[in-house]
Formats: sequence, structure tokens, C-alpha cells
Amino acid sequence: MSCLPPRFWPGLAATELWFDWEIDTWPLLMALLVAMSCGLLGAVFLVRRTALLGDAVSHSVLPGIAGGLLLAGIVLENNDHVFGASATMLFVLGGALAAGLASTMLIEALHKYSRIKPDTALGAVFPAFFAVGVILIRLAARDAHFDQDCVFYGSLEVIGELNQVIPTLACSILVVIFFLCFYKEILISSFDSQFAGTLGLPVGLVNLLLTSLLALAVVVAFEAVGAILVIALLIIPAATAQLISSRFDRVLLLSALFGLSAAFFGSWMTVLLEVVGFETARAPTVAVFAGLQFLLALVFSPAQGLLAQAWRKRALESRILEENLLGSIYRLSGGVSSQGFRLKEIAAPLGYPPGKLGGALRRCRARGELDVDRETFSLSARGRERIAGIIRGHRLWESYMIHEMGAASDHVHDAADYIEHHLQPGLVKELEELLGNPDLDPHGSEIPGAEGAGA
Amino acid sequence: MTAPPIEIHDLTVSYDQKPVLWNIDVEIPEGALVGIIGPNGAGKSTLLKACMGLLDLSSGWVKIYGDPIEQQRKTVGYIPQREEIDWDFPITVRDLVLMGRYGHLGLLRRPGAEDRKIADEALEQVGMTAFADRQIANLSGGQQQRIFLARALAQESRVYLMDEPFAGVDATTEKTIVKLLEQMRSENGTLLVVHHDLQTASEYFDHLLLLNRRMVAFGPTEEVFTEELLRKTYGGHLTVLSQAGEAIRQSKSGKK
Repeated sequence: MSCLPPRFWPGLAATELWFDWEIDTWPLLMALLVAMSCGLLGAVFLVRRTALLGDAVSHSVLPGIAGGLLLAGIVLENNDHVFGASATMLFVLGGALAAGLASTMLIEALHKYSRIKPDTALGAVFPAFFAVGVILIRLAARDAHFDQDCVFYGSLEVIGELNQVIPTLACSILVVIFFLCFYKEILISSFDSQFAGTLGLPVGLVNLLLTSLLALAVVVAFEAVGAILVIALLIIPAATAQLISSRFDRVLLLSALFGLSAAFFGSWMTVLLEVVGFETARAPTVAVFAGLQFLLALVFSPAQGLLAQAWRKRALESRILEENLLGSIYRLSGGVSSQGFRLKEIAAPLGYPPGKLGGALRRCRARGELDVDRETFSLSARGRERIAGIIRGHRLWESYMIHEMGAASDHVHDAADYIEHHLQPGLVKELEELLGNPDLDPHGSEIPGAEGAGA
Repeated sequence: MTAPPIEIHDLTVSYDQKPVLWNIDVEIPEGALVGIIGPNGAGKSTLLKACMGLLDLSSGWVKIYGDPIEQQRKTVGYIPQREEIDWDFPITVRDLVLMGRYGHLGLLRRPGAEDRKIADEALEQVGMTAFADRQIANLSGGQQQRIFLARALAQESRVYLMDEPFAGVDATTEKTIVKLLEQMRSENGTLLVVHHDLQTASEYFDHLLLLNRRMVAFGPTEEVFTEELLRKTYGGHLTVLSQAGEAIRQSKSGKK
């Protein structure tokens, strides 16, 4: 685990816009593997609403890493050259796993056996572990070739051979196998662990395995992206996935995919930035890319995106304007005649400036709901059919308010005006049955039949 | 004589060292539709959870057809309280109901076509077929209880423990649930249902278990739904039990 000086790169050339596979293969593979396992695991902890557990574990593994290094220094002192770096790596992994598990168990135990709440336990345990880790790291760095910056920001750049990727590869395979085999146990113990317990499913074991894999994934990610940015990979792709889908299996899959794409495009962006002479570390670019994906999903997600929300809101507003326009003509004409009215006359009862109805007028005309005679507009058969249903809902609601809610008859119009745009057919039917299909509303106006106007 | 569906013997359950249920001793007969009634904090949910083996017992045991619950998991279906799960969880109605099948599947096995069929039938029985592919968020209280009931139906158990299935439901759902409970009982099921409404309790259940930290009475509804027993259940502060519980907690946690 040592950061080499920035790699040499030779000037600008067209080939430089793409990965130089001789150098980039292993760092890219490493980033992809880390991002995928973090994406899968992060999604589970996110839907469990314990996303910050990843944060806690990623900080808590530090004393284990330092302890592993120190221990390796003592045990392997004389025959370091025999075992080489991979033996040291095993010590580091083992230590980190132990520390990660110890911290989560401590958090759980504090919560269970004392009055301390889970969030407090989390906040107390991981900084304590981290602090001890920082001290131990200084100790370990005194006589090891060890760059402390790597711990915090990662060092994807120094990965130059397959050997360095093998622990990460093994971890990713474990994670994937775990999800394939225990999908239903993961789902049910995340959603309703109590019910899972009543079925006799091994909830405790699944949770222990999940936490162990999280600790393992965090440790191997540590080397690649560092203690702080690993949180980005655990949380951001999962949060992005949740914006897009509301099914557990798809959230898992999308989270892994978003992790992969962030790793790929983030790495590529680093290559491109190098070309323009801007040397940067890979891990932060990957994290930034994950963040960009999140922002894109936040805006463009078809289900929950801001754009879709704004679109739905606008569509509703347009519909309400149209219904108000048609409703005004209906009332002016007394519901039956095909008398035409000027725009100014139509807008007046609504309290609108005439210009406000321009768009609605255009859309209703295009749909053939209005007949136009010079400057006046009247309801076509189609328009009358559309608005009769709304008026019917309006008048039924007024009756309901007076008869069932005891409202005064001069207090119901505004409420009905509001709700008429939102009444579903099922509810209208229920109102009809409840009120016994009345013909007149409380003000004595006719309630149009379900079939159309004037029925 | 065959063992009863549920036998509870000298059951005491504590939270934080403090007993909340004292020495419950009861046998539930086969085919009974039992309402558990009692005031808030009487330990109704605790009793169900203890029966399901979800809690550590301070004393006593629970047996299902003569066996510990661990050996009879498939025999007993459970409906938790509605508030106990996260309704924003990314899962569809059908997936939730399918969880009722998980107890019948071995490790590494996924629900198959047969399980899906059972889940869909259960959804149909509670009138929620139209919602099968919807996400569980945005369901009304009544709809939430219906799909919980469907999940229990999918368990195909003989004994059901239900925690407040009538809480927060509309009138139509209430009727549907009552009908289903009757139907499950008539198919020789045994049901233990926590209920909060005294007015309907005597109407819905053929047996009542009156509970307020200790069991006040258990028996056929017409025998135990008496003013005297209800007053004993709801009235009066259980000062002796409270003080005894507090005393146990304090001495066990080393406080004076």
C-alpha cells in the first residue's frame, strides 16, 4: 500500500483520449469491482435506513488495518521476503474485518444493553475506532513504507498487476454469490425481520453475513478509493437506483449498474483530464461521476424526477383550466343551449383575466370540444359530454356536504369547485348511491346525468 | 387426547428486567376464534410475540400442538402490527404476499409458479388483485391490513396469531376481515386476534381472552364478557403488579 509518484504520460495524441490498457487495465478493473460490490451492499443498507452503517464500518476498519500492518511487521520480520506483500495483505484484511465486525457488534450491544440509542451508539463508536486507528497508523507508518494519504483518498493509480486485484475480485465474487443464493432472506430480513423470525428464517445469520461482507468490501475498497470516498460508492449509486425503481430486485441491480458506470466513466474522465494537462486522482473523479448520475436521476427519473413532477403538476393545472373554461360556458348557457359566448364573458365568472384561458381554449378547440362562431365559443357535443361529468361531481359533492356534513348551502360552492377536478368515477358512484341519485342540487340546479348533458 | 393448538404454561415475559406479562396459563381449544382484549399496555402484542418465539421468556413455555414453536413454524401464521414495517420499502403488493410462502421454501429456493398462484389466490380472497403490481406505499390503512391478511393466507397455516388486524380499517375492510376470519375458523383453523374495540369484540369472537398484564379470564364469549370481568380488566390500577415489576427491575439492575 504505497503511493507511487504520478505516472509518466507522453504528450497529446489521439490515442490518449482512450484508456491505455497496458497501464489502465488493472486500476479500471479494481474500480469496477469495488463499485459493484459497494453498489449491491449499499442498496441493502439504504433500504434498511441504515446507510450510515457503511460510514461507520469504513472508519472503524482503520485500527484493524494498522494493527494488521504492525502485527505483520512483527511476525514477518525475518522472512518478509519469503511471504512478500500478499502475506502482509492477509494480515491487513484480517485485522480490518475483525475491527469492522467488532465495531458493528459494539454498536448493537450498546443499543441493546444500555439506554443509548442506535444513532448515538453509531456516532460514539466509529470516531473512537477511527481515532485509535489514526494513532496506530502513525505507529505503523514509522517503520513501514506506507503512505497515509492512501488510507484517506485511495490509490487506484498504483495498481499495476493482477495480484493486487485478487482480494477485491474474491470479495466481489463472494458478494455476488451471497446475493444470488440468499436473495429472499436478504429481502425479508430487510423488510420485516420480525416476520422472517416467525417463519424460522436465519435473520441473525443473514445480518451477520451482510455486515461481514460490508466490512470486507469496505476494506478492499479502502485501498482503491480510501476511507472517505467508499461512502460515496455505498450510498450514491443506491440512492440513484431508488429514485428510478421501487422494486427491491431492480434497486439492487440498478445500484450495481450505477456503481459500475460511475467507475467506468469516472476513470475515463481522469484519462481525458490528463490529456488536457490536469492530473487528478481517480477515486474522486469516480465519486464525482456517481454524484452526477444522482443529479441526473433526481431531475430526469420518470417516476420521481423533479422534471416528471413538474410535468404532472403542469398537466393538472392545464386540465383544471380547461375544465373551468368548459364549466363556465356550461353554466352561462344553462347547461342545454348551444349559445356562444365571448372569451371575456367566459372568463369573468371565473375571476380570470381572459388571456389566462388562451392555452385552454386552443387545446379544447383542437380536441373538438368547442364550436367557434366568429368571436364566440359554445360547447360541442363532445365538450358538453366532458364537462357534464365534472358538473355532476360538483353538484353531487354540494349535496353531500349539505346532507351528510351539515354544511350551510352558501358555503359549499368553493369546496365543490376545488374537488370537482379530483373526483374519481368510483367515488362519484358511491356519492350517487349514498344520496339516492338526486336530480337537483341543493341550489335547485339540475344535476346532469352520467350519460351526458341534459339527461 | 391430542395436544391443543396453543398451550401456554406459566408464561412470564419481561422488558428491561421488568415483567410485563405475569404467569399466563391457558389452553386454546381447536377451532376457536379468540379475541384478546385489554387496555393499552396490557401486554397483548407481547403475548403474541412470546407465542411466536420472538421474545426471551422469563419463565414458562408455549407449545403448539404439543411441540415448541421452533418445530411448528409452518403451522403458525403471524400478522404483525401495521406500524411495525416501513411502508416506503421498495416492494410490490404481490412480493409482500409471496413472503408468506418463504417459510415453505428451503434455503436457496425462490418462490415458484405454484407459490405465485397461491399468493394470487390469497390476494383475490382479500379483494386486492387489482393492486398486485403496485408499490406498497400509498395504500390506505384498510388495504395494508388486507395484504397482511393475504400474506397470512398464503402461509397456509392452521393457527393464526394476528396483532390488531382491525386497526385503522374502513367499514368495508372490516366486513371483509370478519368474513375471512369466520372462513378460516370454519376450515378448522384456530385464531388468536388482538382486538381493541370492546363494542364489536363480543360479536366477532366466540372466545375472549381478557388480559391486563395477567390473564383476567379466558372462556366462551357469553361466559366471560361480563361487566364484572371487564371492570376487572380495564378498571383499577394494577399497583401491586407495577410495584412488584419495578422492584424486580431495580434489584436486577443493581439500583436501590
